[in-house]
Parts: sequence; C-alpha cells; structure tokens
Amino acid sequence: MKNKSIFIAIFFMIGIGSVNAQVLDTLSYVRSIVANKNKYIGKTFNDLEKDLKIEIKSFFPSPYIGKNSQEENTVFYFIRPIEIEDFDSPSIAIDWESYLDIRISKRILYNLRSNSNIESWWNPESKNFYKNAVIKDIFIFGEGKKTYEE
Amino acid sequence: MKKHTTLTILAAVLLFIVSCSRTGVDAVQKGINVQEAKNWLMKSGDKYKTGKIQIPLAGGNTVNGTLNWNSATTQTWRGETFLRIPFVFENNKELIFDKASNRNLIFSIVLKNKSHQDFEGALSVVVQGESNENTKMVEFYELLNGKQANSWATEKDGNLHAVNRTQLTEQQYLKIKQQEQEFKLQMLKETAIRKALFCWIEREVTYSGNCNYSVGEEVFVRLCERTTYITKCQDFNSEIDPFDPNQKGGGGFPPYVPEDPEEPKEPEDPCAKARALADSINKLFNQPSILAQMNNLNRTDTTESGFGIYEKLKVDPFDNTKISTDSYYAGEVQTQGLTNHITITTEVDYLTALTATAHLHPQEGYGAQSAKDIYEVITRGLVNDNSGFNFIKNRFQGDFVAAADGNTYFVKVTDVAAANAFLNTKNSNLEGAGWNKQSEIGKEYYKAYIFYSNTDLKYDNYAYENAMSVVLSSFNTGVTLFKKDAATNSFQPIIRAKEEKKGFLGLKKYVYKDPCNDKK
Repeated sequence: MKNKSIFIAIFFMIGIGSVNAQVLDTLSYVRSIVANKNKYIGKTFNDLEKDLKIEIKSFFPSPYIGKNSQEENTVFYFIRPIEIEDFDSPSIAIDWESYLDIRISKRILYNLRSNSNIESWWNPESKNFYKNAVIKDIFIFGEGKKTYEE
Repeated sequence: MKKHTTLTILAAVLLFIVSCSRTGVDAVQKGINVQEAKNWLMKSGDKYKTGKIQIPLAGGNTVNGTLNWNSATTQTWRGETFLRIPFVFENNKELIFDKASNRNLIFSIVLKNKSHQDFEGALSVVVQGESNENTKMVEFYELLNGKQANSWATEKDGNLHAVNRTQLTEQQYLKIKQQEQEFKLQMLKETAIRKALFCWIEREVTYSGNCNYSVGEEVFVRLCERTTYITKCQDFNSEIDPFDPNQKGGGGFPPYVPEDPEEPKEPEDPCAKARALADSINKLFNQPSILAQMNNLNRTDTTESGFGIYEKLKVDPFDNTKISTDSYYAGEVQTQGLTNHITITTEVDYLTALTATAHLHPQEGYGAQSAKDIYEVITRGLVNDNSGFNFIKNRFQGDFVAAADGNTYFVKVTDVAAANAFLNTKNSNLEGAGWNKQSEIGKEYYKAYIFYSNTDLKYDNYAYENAMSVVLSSFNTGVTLFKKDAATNSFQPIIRAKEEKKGFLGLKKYVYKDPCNDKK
C-alpha cells in the first residue's frame, strides 16, 4: 500500500514537472519569436507560420475599436484554451499592416468552437485566411506566469 | 514718508489683532514657567533648539533672527495657555518688512504645556502684504517637527476666516482665477448669493522650517520660502466658529494638525454601494428632458453624437448655505463625433453644474463605454471637484451610452481616490479609444473578452461589457459600469471579479465571478 502511494506521488511529480517544462519551453520559444520579429515584420503570416516549430492550436481575432468589422490584431495560442488560466498560456499577438475582415475570421472560429470533438481550433480554412496578411508587429500576449505556483 | 506712515499703521493693526486674542502678557503669571519652556526647547525643540533662524527675503537678502525670551507673552484660548516667543531681527525688531515683495513678516514660536516640564509647539509665520487680494494677514502654523499645521486669515473688513491649504499647480491656480473673474461679472448682480456660496483660492507665500540647517559658528534654521494656495470660504456665518478645530481646513489658535474631513461612511459591500448609486442614476435618466434628448440620438447613425446634461441649482433664500437642484436640462445634440469617439463640448453658466454626458455608440462599435470614455469620465469629475467652486463639487455623475443594439449603459466614478490614481495610467493604457493591447490591462481585458465570447462570438457586446467590468474591478479603477435592465427599466451594476481558486498540486485556477448575483 505504501509502495503504491509513493508510486502515485512520483507519477504526479513527473507529470507536473513535464507540464511545467512544456510551458517554459513554449514561453522560451515565444520569446525567441518576438526577439527575432524584425525577420517577419513586413512579411506575410505564411512566412512566419512555416518557420514555427510549435503548432498553432487556436486564434482569436481582435477588432479595431469603433470598426468592429475590421480585424486589427490576432492572438495565436499553442493550446486550445478552455479555462481562464489557459488564456495566460504562452502566446503571441500580431498587429496587421492592413486590417482584415473580422466577420470571416470570426465565422471560421465560431464554427471550430462549436465542434466540441476537435482538438485544434486551427485548420486549413483559418490558415488560408491569414496566410497573405502582412505582419506589422509581433508581441508576447500570454507569458504563462499566472498558470503555476512559483 | 507715505510708505513709512503706512508701515506704522500696518504694524499697529497687526499688534492690535494679536493683542485682541491675548488675555495676559506675563508668562510666569499665567502658569507657564518661561525658563522651563526655554530648557525644553533647547533640549527637545527639533530644529529650533538653538533659537536661531535665517529668513531669505524676496530680493535675495537674508536676515537672521533670534528668539527673544524676554518678550515672551502668554495667550489663552478655551482655557489653555500658550507661550508665544517672538523672533527678533536687526535692531531688535520683531517685524520684518521685505521691500522686494512689499510684505510684512512676523515669526514666533508658540509653546503649550503638555505636562510638567514637557511642552509641544509650533512655528508661527504671519504674512501681511499687498499681494493678497482681500487679505489683511495670514498666519501659518508649522509644528516643530516640520509637519504642516493649521492656518487662518484676517480679511480687510476685519473678518477672521479659517483657511485650508490646497494642493494646486500654478497652472491650475491661474485657470481658477480666470474662472473666478468670469463668474464675478455675473455675481455683481447677486451680491447676497455671492456671499453665501463662494470659496476663493489665493496664492500666499509662507516660510517653512524644512530647509537646510546651516552649521558654522552659528547654528540656525534656514527657513525656505514656499508658495502656498489657500482656500477661504465666504459663507462663514455666526454659527460657525472659525477657531473650532473641527472645522474643515482648520484655523485659529492653537496650532494643531488639521485632519482630512471624514468622508460619509458608505456601505462596504461594493454591490450594495453600486445598487444605492443606481437609484440616483435612474432618477437622473428618467428626467423628462433627458429622456427626450436620449431619444433624439439616432441609433442608426454611423458616427458618435452626444450632449451634456446639466443641473440648475438654487439657493434657499432663508439659509444661503443650502443649495439644491432646481431642474435638469439637456444640451443640444452634438454630431462632431468619429466612429469610435466624441468629445462633448460643455458650457456652464452661473449656478449650473455639468451633471453627466450622454453619447451614442454606433453599430460598428461596442455597446458599453470605451477605455477612452472611462478616462474622460474620471477627468470631468476631477475638473468639477478641483474647480474651487464648492457648489459644483461632487455633482458630476458620469456618462450614459445609448448603444446601437438598444442597450443603455452608464459609467460612474464610485471611488474617487482610486479613479484619480488610475488617471495617471492613461498614457500607458490608452491606445486610440481602446486599451493598449500590449499593456497589462489591455491583455487582461482581451483574455476576459475571449473567455466571455467562448460560447458564441456573435455576442460581442456581452463579451465586451463583461471584459470591461473585469478590468474595471481588477485594476482598481474606481469606476463601475451600469446597464439598464430591460425588464425592470432600471440601471444595475455589472461587477465582475477575477478570483483565484485553490489549485491542485500547484496549479492555479481562476474564475470570473459576479459577486452581486453569484451564490456564495
């Protein structure tokens, strides 16, 4: 019985450790993208995406205040956020050189989110929507700091 | 010769004023042992142990003063006795005439017996000069430890006023003086009301003991000249005792440290507080003239339009300190707005206060107020409260938004101190009309926005109003968002709080709560 408890404890410790390591790795990677953002500014999103070593899992378009049909900025996550703390996970935000039609991106996202069976809210349709969008700026959106105890 | 005569008269007047409040001249006879007081000051008198001060005059000259214990006199006030020891300067004179600034100055130390051989005291600085508009003299007290104490002024008509030191910049002061001048032109016709209502701000110069010590052959305190703004109210009547330490602003004698006036106690529960405030919003919104003008905002317009809401005030003819609302009225609808913002031009007349603003949010924008609207509401409230005109203080309530989707919102400052502090974040937090997406508040807002739009992105306005409420609460903005409930036709607060839950094996969890409606 005692051995079983120890085994469970070790199992959880390894599990949490690997989750932390994954978050830290993603954050380091996100930071490296932003550190090298000059390489992508003025280029298309496709140029950035093909270099990404971690797969995008979700995106959230953000409108220009006062022109809600125009997408000024988009946040890209490497997880599919469900819980509140998930929205703090390492992620990047991209400002677009020319505003996009947010009505299209919202419809794509809405359809993805409505399907509870899929693991990723990033699909060929969303890729196609963003691929030619020109990047104006890239910054870190979520740093994952609040997800885990120090 | 003429100046000399004037100086003599002024000195005589000053001496007369001071002597009026004195009931005795012999310190020992009044129960204070001068030697004990001197011993205490030399041992425990902070900067004034040596009894020597140096005064920088406006022309660049300095004069040195020494306490003249032989001229110490006692004064009594409400059964307590005080010892006043004057500083004397060249030729053993207590009064300094500063030619450059045309001011007379008198400095003294005032001590009070606390217990046997133990005292407390203050530096008294009396300033009289032609720079003052109506003031004959002002007396500032500063405790020996440098803490600012009370102050009072005597008008040219002989009236004594408690005065309150006011935190202002020179620019703010000049603006207030300009406004006063404009109001005065109208006030000349209504002298009685003028006397009832107005507080004036004046710029005075006093001296503070917080400047450098000089150490050399002589050790003395070098006082520094300080520009001070004071508020004096003309509504003093016989029922108000200017010497009462409980009066706001302090005044009279003896020196004491004025405390901030106690704010009326409000309910601690933010929901109860907000609901109580919602009643006043409903009352304002349902004024017929305001309802009518709200209906004139065309919710199909593509740019913002809006108007000011004003409160006409009246004065009780039998008690001119009682000011109440006579009526509300709405200004003309202004249509100069952009797609995401409008700055409403407002204009107030005498006995009129700006109570609120109202504007339209078109279909292309969100329903509730923008980040820029939040800062504008805080600023408008601050402008009213710092105007120097007491009758409009605390009368600005907030901003209505008529949204294209039919909803109506209101934002109100519910914690003035927090809101004023939050105003300092404007440059870093605001980008256009929205939150700066790279700022902490911008990121937090958008995370909440995504969360609330989780189920259906079509509900943009729902996600927006909730996300705004989250950051208004989380970032201690002092501002609360209200929304008119369609069922009850009354405004209700929208308060959302991000709360941390106990984590499992180190994982932190968060929930957005509606503390006003969620079950505990």
